Amino acid sequence: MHHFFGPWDMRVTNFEGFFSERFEILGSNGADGMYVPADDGTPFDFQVDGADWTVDFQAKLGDEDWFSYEPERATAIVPPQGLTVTLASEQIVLPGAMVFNHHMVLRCISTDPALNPPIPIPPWDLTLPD
Amino acid sequence: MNIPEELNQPWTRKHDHPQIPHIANAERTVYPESLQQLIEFCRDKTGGQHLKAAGSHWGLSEAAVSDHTFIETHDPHETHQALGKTLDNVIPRCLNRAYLQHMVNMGSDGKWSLVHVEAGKRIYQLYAELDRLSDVGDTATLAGFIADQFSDGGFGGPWAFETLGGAGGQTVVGAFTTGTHGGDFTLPPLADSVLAIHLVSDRGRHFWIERNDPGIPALTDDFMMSLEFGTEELGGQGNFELIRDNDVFDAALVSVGRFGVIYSVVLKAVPQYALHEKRRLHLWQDIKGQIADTTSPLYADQRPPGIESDQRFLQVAVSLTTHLNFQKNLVGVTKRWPLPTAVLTPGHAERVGDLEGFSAVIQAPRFSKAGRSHPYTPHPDHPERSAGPSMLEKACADASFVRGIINAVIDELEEFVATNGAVIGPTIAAVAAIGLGGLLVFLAAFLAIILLLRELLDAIDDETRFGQVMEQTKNRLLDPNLPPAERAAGLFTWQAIYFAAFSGQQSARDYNALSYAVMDQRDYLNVSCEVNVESVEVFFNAVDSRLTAFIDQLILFEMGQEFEGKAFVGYASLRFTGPTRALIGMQRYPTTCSVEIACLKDVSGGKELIDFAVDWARNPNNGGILHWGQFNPWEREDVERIYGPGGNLTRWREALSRITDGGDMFTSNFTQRTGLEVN
Repeated sequence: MHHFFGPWDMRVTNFEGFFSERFEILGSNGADGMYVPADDGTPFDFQVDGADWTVDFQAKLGDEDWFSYEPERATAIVPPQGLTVTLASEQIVLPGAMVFNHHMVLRCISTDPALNPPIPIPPWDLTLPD
Repeated sequence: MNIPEELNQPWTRKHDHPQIPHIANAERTVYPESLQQLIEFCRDKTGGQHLKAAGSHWGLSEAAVSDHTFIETHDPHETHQALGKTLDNVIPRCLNRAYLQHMVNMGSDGKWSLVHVEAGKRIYQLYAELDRLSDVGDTATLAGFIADQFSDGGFGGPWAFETLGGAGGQTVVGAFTTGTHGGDFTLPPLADSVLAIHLVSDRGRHFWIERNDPGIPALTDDFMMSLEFGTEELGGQGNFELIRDNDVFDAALVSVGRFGVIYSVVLKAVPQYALHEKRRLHLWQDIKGQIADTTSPLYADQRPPGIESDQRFLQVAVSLTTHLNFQKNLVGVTKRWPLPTAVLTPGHAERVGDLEGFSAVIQAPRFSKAGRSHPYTPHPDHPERSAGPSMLEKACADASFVRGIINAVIDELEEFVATNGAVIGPTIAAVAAIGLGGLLVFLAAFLAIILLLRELLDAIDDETRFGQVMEQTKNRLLDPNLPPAERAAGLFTWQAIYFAAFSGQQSARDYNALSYAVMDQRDYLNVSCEVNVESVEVFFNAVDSRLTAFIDQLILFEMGQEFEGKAFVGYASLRFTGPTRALIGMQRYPTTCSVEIACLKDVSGGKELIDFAVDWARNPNNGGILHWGQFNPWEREDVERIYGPGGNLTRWREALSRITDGGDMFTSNFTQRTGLEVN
């Protein structure tokens, strides 16, 4: 389960795989719920805000029960949008060394200007000719 | 017993503005000269005034500031006697015989010694004292006692700190109680070298606090300790308690002065050793991807020839000012390997010097170079010996080195303009990227910039502080009211000056020297570069990508403010450390990275960047942990989010309650604001 604080723009993408995948948001201002992304790669955009809210990634195989898994979390400053957190895993590893591929990626971009100020654009070309 | 004191005097920290004391009128400052004086003062204090211990005054945190009375363990002006003794009452004769046997049983591998010092002893003083041979024939020394009782004459030294921070001017206690560290990623910070703490707390009660580690005998002998510290002069048996409890010990290690005044500590010392240091310039964008991989060459570089141990130290100093058309940033990458000392290993003469005799003020032998020298600098052609102070060290001592850099940049720009861009000097070539050739459009503007720089050089005199020179330089080159072409030329010139200064400071070098000569990089003769300084230190899990995102965000902030006429003059330095046992220590991960950001407050833009860095790090999305001993605006909710409750903070508070019994003698605005209280 991953905690987020404040406002974020979210985009989820998913592709059909061996598993069904979804995620749950809790603790937000009006965006709580279970999200089941399409599995054809069509991105789905939405916004989440709240003092302290969580994302829980879940997957299931066939008629088995849903289980939570821990995606990898990567943070980077990505031009032009800035502070970007990506939640994704190429594989899910469960106890007993069961390894599963998965395809759901949640990209989160902070929309808090104090946390993610606009990236400055250099107004001049300070280069020498080749 | 009367305690020396001063009333209503200014109180300032080492890095504050020289003319502006941090507290104009500190109500009371006392200077205890002994354990007995300290206990009596805390016992007899009347009124509700709060107390706070102060040492070297190197801390930049409000944690070091008292609401009312300061208890100075080492008067920075050295007009009052310091609590600076190396003590011989516990070591060796109160040590537990089983512990001594344990030390002897370790043999030559993993051998250590013990040293017991009062709280006001500075780090450079202690490493100088440790780097001497003990008299193995004198049973009053630990080496002599072990030789006599255990027939092992191998404890005569010389000895050393296992690790240090980057400077030796702090008191030993001030450094470890705020979590100070170096860049030894295979080792925990300095606090973890502490084996026992002698603490004076509320109402003058005093505690000897030891670790209680499985399989390791108790350090001291209960009966001997009660004889030593249960005396009537110290308040009797009921006023003293010996505690062997890891939670209490681990809480007191990093306690920010809230538990009371630490009177003395026992530290573990290791056999003296040397270090090999290798430093190279790289680009941040090329190496940042290796930081999260602790098996990468950043941490596991090839051993230099003749060295048989693995790398243990890593520092990455980042220039936040960009170059190569705003795309790249210089970094200086420093790595170190331990190695045995040799007869001619340099460092002692340069950083310790000659014994000058006993000093009554510091209550210890004075050494001619300890705390009174430039950092050890290897000779560029003969790395086996010292070259004396570097260009920057000399410059900071007389505040004029920037003249040389500006003159060199002016010369290159003049030639560049005179040849219509045909002749490109080394700095211009290094700073300018190859591209569309936009710089050639600004040739005329460079002439105006050269004129501005020449006027600036005429206005600088030897009394001007380095920071003031840089402020004037920045104001002229980055003036947002200049015409656009001159703004572009000015910004490029600023990048060139910054590049030249950073490259000079972080240039390639390889050398061996004694441990302290390599680890203590402080320039004690600096009178210009290190006053009016602001700094902050933020800690991250080294393998968490939020660390590199933080640096990238700082680089972008700096780029943006340079477009608006401001600039950060200082450094951002990444150092890597192993985990600490201290409950509220900042080194919470298998490998923790500290990012120290330090600037000259004379230059507008430095404080702005530090404020941004602190706000960004404090944001709960980013997971930054602030240093207790540096600028630290944390509130209770920040501390509780990171350390508890329900975790280490709860255990820390329980230990505080046990020691102070609910007393508030050592509370302060800082400890109340940050929730370092029982509740």
